[in-house]
Amino acid sequence: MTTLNDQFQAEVFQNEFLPAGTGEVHAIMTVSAGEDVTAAARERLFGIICDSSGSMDGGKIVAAKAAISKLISMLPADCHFFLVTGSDEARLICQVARATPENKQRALTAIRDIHATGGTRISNWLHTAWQQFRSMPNAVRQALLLTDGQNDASDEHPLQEALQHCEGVFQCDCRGVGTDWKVAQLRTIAAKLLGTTDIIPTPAQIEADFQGILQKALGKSVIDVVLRLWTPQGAKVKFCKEVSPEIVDLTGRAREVKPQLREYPTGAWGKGESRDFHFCIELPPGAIGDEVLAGRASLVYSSQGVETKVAEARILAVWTDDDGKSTKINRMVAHYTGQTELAQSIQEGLDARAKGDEEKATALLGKAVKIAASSGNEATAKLLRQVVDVVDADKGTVRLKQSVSKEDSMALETRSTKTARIARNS
Amino acid sequence: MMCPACVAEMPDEDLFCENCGLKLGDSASEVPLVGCVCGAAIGETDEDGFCLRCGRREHRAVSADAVRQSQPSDHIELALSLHFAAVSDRGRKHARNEDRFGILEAKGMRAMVVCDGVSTSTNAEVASTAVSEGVMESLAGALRSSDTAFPLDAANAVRQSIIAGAARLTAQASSPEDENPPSTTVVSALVSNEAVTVGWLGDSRAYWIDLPEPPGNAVALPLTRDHSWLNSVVGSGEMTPEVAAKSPQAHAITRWIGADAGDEVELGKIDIVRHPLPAMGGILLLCTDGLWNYFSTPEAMAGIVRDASRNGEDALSIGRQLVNLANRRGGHDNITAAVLRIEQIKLTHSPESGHAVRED
Repeated sequence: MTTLNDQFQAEVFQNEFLPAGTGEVHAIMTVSAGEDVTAAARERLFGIICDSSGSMDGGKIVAAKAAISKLISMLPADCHFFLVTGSDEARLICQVARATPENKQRALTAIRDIHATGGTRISNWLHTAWQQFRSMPNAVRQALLLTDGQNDASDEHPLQEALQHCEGVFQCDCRGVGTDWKVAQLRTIAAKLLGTTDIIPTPAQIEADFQGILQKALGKSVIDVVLRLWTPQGAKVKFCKEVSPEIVDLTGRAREVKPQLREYPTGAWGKGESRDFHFCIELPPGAIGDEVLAGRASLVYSSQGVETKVAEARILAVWTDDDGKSTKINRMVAHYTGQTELAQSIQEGLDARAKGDEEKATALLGKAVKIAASSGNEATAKLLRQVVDVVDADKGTVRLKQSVSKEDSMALETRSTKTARIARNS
Repeated sequence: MMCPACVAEMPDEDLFCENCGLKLGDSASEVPLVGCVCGAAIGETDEDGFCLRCGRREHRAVSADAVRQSQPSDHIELALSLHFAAVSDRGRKHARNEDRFGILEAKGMRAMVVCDGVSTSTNAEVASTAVSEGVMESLAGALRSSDTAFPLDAANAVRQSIIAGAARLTAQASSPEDENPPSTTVVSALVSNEAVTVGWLGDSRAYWIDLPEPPGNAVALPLTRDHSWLNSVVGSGEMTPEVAAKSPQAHAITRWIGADAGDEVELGKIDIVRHPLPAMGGILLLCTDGLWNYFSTPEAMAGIVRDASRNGEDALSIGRQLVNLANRRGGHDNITAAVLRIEQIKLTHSPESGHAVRED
């Protein structure tokens, strides 16, 4: 375990022993931000991006307006905020302002005039938000995007460009209200902007959800943290994933700093926050007895041009001819490999069900039930029970429910990537 | 001053880094600095000794601390005087040091032995330890029992010492089913006022290095001829040296001491050579292949020794320099150097014997 400045702790779990002729190394790194993680007088900018397209008309926009009003009224006075509504175009309802009572009142008045009309071109919303966030580059920069529908098909390419633009400028949690939105679409946005995706099944639940997002954002204190991974010459990073609290594949997000050194964005961290990462590194096979550093992973943040390394951990490889050593799979690695399989089984199972392939859906969702039960992922097991009748959880025997509400199916799909942690001392 | 290779702090006047052996103040050193098998330089490691390029952990960090923490045999130094010393080192790649040496001074004569445990045999250091101890004990007895009435038969004493070394190894019975019983090379020398007598089995070598006055080219005369596959096929005319040198078994030894060597036959093959001491003096060097392999010619090695000697460095310092250099060039094997410096004959006459005497 490495403690660099008492703020973060990193620990690696792996079986470093490899049999001859192989070179694939798996390791889980757990990182915890200490309770002492604080940044003195850190500025915060909270941006609200709300869908105001025609489909929101009625109960949704009424509930959204109420929830946003409540949210703004709850903002601490030392916080900054802005509000953008979007349809085909974006409208800047309130530009960046400190959350003083006067500015809040001005915002609440402006919110009353929001009406739902027009289409959905999210690229324009993000672009407007981007301009606002750029004004406070040193603040904790968190956005909340609420939508109820699908992005206009012709906006696909502009949306990708906008995301490219916004990456690293702000983080964004995405929420879909109702059941007419596409999970994959919102997940793409949230993943690129290091945020979460979730479903708000009914408008009445918007307010509670928004407050949760705000509380989390206010707890962030170290921003723009990157995961830096050194690997030896000739090594290949097969994947790098965040696996807890949620599965996020970071492999494609690597920025090569220089040969052998890559950085993956992890965004802002709050005090007491824990995340686990799974690395898979392919090394050229070594000789029996060779001991090689397969990777050195560290968390680094920069503040005013000064880099601070807050945690570091090593990934090793030792070649052995002792099968007893090399065939053991580390418990932590096995657990998260299982959680990844769980998420995949759910996504593919729901997909098969939607396409009418009941046999495949039953097999995959049954497998998911089994993994969820054996790994203690009760939250996912509960969601699965809305979709299948469990006959025998340990064996993975299930029957597809004949009628499943769309919101239950979407909730399962959205939350399938949420993982359970392994009980440390069992 | 900081050593550019290992970043150890050194007194400004030092010519060589005490820690890694780098020649200081000469960054354009001809010596390639290799710290890892992947070609990374010395010092290109993190604090735990992992290579910053290939990630491989160095089996040994070349630092004084590491030496202190490691096996006592990993680095051995012994100096009997400013003129007579030996250094043995594990090198940078082997897990342990299986070289052994012995040096001894008695009755105005000196005895030396260097053994290189054969690394393909099991517990090779058992063989090198037993043989070097047996050789030294035998030579010490020979020196003690000699006097003017019974002058020493140097050639016989050297041969008997190697036989005694082999007998000591045999006494330490290894298990009969051992396919690779402990085995070792040996080179043993007896130095009187008149001559050097050297006996050997295998590829550990003895060199005589002239130190001409006034200074001229350093000349290193190999006193031994390796019992190696290369010399064997070249000697029999089967191959030219150029062709033979390319063979992977070029350096394989053809004679050694060990249970699998067949004592009598092999001991009958002990080669003995006598080299009269030149009046101008010089240096006798006994070494293992971990040293001589890192010098393209005997002259290259002689040059280092001559320069060090001319700088007034003592025998221990010369031995250390040779070992450090082999380490810097890769240190792929254990490295041992035993150094005896013999001064020029002073043309004074001793009243008792009437012989010219050497003062050293």
